[in-house]
Amino acid sequence: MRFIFKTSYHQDLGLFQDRQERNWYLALALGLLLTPFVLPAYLGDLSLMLIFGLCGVSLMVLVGYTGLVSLGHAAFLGIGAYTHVYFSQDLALPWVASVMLAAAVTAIAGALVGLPVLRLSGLYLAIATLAFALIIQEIFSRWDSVTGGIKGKAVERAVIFGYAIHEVTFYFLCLGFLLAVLWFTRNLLRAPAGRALIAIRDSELAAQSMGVNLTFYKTFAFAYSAAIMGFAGALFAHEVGFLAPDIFTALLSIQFLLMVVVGGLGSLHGAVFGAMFTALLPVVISSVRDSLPDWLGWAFGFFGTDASSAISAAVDRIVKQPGLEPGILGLMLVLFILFEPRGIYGRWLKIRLYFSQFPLYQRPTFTQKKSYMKSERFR
Amino acid sequence: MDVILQLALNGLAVGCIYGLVALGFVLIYRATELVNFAQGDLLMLGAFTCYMLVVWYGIGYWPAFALSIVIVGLFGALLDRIVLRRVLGQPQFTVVMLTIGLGAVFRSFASITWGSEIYSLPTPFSAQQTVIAGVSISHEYVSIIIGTVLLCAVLYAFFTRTRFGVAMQATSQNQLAAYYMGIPVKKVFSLIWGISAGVATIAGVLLAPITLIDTNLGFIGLKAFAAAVLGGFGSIPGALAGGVTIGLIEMFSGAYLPLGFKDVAAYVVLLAVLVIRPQGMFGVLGRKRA
Amino acid sequence: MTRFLAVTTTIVLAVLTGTAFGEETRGVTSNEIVLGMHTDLSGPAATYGVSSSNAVKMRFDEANANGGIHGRKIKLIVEDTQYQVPRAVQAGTKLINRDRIFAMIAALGTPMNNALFKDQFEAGVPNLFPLSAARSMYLPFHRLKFVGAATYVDQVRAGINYFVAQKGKKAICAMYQDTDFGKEVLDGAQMQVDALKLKLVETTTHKPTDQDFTAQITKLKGAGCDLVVLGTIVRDSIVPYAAARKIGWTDVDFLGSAAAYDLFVAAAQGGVTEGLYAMGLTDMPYRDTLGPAAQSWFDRYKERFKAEPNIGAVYGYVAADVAALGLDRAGPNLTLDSFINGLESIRSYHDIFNGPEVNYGSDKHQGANSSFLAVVKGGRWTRLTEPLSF
Repeated sequence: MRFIFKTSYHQDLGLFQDRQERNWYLALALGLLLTPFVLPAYLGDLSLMLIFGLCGVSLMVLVGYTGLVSLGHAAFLGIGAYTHVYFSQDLALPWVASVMLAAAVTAIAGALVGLPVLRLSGLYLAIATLAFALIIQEIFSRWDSVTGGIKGKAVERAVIFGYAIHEVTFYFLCLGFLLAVLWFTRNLLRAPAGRALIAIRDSELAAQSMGVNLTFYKTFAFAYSAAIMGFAGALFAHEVGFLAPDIFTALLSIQFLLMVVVGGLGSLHGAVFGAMFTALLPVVISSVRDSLPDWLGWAFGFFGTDASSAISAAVDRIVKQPGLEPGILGLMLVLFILFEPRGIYGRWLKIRLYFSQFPLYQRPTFTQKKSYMKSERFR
Repeated sequence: MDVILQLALNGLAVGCIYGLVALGFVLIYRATELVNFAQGDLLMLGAFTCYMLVVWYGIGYWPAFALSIVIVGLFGALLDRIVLRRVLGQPQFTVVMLTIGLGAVFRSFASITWGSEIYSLPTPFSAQQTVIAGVSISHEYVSIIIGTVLLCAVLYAFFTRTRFGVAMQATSQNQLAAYYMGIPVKKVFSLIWGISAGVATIAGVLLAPITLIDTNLGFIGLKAFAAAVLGGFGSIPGALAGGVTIGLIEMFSGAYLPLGFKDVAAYVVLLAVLVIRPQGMFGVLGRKRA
Repeated sequence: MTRFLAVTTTIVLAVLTGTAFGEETRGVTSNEIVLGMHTDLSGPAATYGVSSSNAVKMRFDEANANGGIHGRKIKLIVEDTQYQVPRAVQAGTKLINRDRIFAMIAALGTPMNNALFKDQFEAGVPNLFPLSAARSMYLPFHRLKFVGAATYVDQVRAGINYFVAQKGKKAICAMYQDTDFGKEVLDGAQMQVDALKLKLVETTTHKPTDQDFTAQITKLKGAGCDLVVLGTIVRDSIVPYAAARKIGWTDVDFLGSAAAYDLFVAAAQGGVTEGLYAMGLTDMPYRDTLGPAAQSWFDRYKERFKAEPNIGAVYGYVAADVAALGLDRAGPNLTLDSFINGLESIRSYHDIFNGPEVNYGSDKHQGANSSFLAVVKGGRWTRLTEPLSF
């Protein structure tokens, strides 16, 4: 058990609580920097994970911290991707300028979506954002000159200041973006703006009474969230290499929401954990699917070769069933919500507390009081 | 003129489909204030169950229809008993995500059990039609319209006239108070889920001859959700009205507006209505007082 | 922390066990050839994805049972993309980088194939006979692109030519789904209509998941079409055709591409698709109309997979058969160049389903570009013409 004695205001202002925490994060950073050299075959998936991390942060700010549920965030990803590709390929702007412009355009789009839906709450807001997303998706399909229409558009490799960006450098680029956005968002949330957002989530009426300008902050939340999505969209375009309107569907938006909920609503760590879960689970499933029958066959080989090959064949048949993967994802989501509603980050906190308070850890520390459902229509 | 009539009739029928699915949403929301995103997938399960009973086991259409309503209704009630009871008291959004996860599990289950192909359900009124005054009236569409109207009337009467219905409204507004009043809240929830699953089955079986059964049948739920919101979530006639509105708008914009507007028109109207009247057409706006 | 390490170690071990050491040509060892396939096993096109992957598996298992090709057994790795491009990219990277496949075979989905081309060709992995008949599968010409049969554009152009020349159609219209596939059909129709100095009188579009097509049919009827070209797949071929006949519109013909040439379309409930035309590439697998070799294939497929094969299975089987032929003609020293030479040396190949004659060459990577006209009669597809061209 550690007790942190505070002797100066610097400790409150700093990003990390104490030296130990900082050292852990430095170790993590080192690990992330070395990963491309340890796991070169997984670079594409890791870059996708970092991009999803950006999406997770974006959605976390809107859903986890401001309490506005958006079912249409994939559309912002699309706007970011298409604008960046248009500016950098069709208009041949330099890469950095193109990305900044893409984020700005997406932020404006976010504000435009956020303004009309100010009076809506809960489901109505979710459906309104869904409607916007479908309209935007339709615009992607129709606006041939800019987006290439239904046929789609191929995306070239990024070229920054004359250097072509390949796999390893792209990974570092994504990592850099994610760290910068995390740092910026963390500071935003500690500032008055962030506290205003959290106040809006907890009770709009109370926030209004305390002088929080709802219009401004809700629109700001939408715009900020959309801007981060714009960055993510630009990187996503390079990662996937081909843009088509039917990538940015409502299903993708729901997947982002899933990511945020499984990661842990209400914390930036949750966004990153969620991204790891969403991007890496398909990889794990497919590797397991290829090697599980062999491993189980080997494990059961102690019972004789017949049993071993029978088990191997049976498991192979089960595991190669089509349609299993979305079911597994759904099942994991259900299990998380049932047994660990705070998400992966919540579980991580419990584990950390267990080790730091060993052997005095108490289970009821985290138990939620049994509560009754209260109508959210009359908050 | 008969072109417009034909469009109107078909729009009405399509709208009734949306309305039926939206009805399922509204039912659950009315009682438990949860949004069940798995409603579309329950519809798909209902259609598959009826298909299985008719094609695999050779039971007649009407008995299979009734039997599949019972089976899927029981399944819905069980779902509530086993899964949803554990998450009572959690914020609404988390439970919505839970239903989304359940929907994915249902789709996966369906594709493993019945396969990923497209299936066709044989019905007594397939592909028959009557022509009145130049307007071709398909029997399938008529069955949908009649079924929807009947169901809506029955459920509306149930909710507003019977004690059980009023009890359901009470549990959705304040669960603790409902307990105090002696309402068996848990039984009410299970029952409402059962009814909602049954309604989804009816919608699925009525829809099956038109759209053919496959595992992606449930995505109609998203549009029906929009219909429910348009009509004002929490109102049964609203669900139907919203569905019919969207159906008619789709039909007429597809025929008269340029390419691509068909899909967007409904959503533009939805947004316009929500901006002007945030609670939908028939919804009730709740505000905390003092 | 420990869990993360455990998972990472597992992944690393799995990767290491999967890698073959010290091979010069990727995917080829002295006793194994690794082929990859990304397809839709659980999404909207699953009917084709599942059956085609089954048929490819079956063909390669048969080759392996006969001792392999030049002593090498074929290992097939299938990945599910659920018809989504990001998943296809993930699956493709896995197949190319981790499984180190020699070639990609029978991949399904036009945007999925398009998205992977850049990385795939950079890594030197040929794309064999994808289950997409878009033009981008073999145009612009690339050494590593191989296509088996007529593209949608070829099919539609041949069909329109037939109807205009033989049946005197004048008012051509198009109804296409709002996807890249639908656009291909529209482009094909537009190209042929321009070549014949006619005009496309009216076009309508719809989403693949739409249920009701009254609006579109009304629009087309109002424009006075006498031939409607359908850029549709299964469900959206049946429903609009049935709707048109229901409202009494009988003096029009509907022509679909090979995507509508499917068992299910012909066998639609209540005979609603009677009189629907489509372009076909090979015989439809009705057991009684197949040749003896194909009948035996039908029985083997049914016994192994407990389901009757559909046209997707036919395409998959033919793709695997030609690929196996190419591998055989490459000779015992199998490299990328010898394989490509082997494929390009194929002449006068006929599949067991009465498909067109297939020829390849050093500048010809499209095996055949003819298709024939078929019509639905009595709930089954009936072949009407010889292979048509334009």
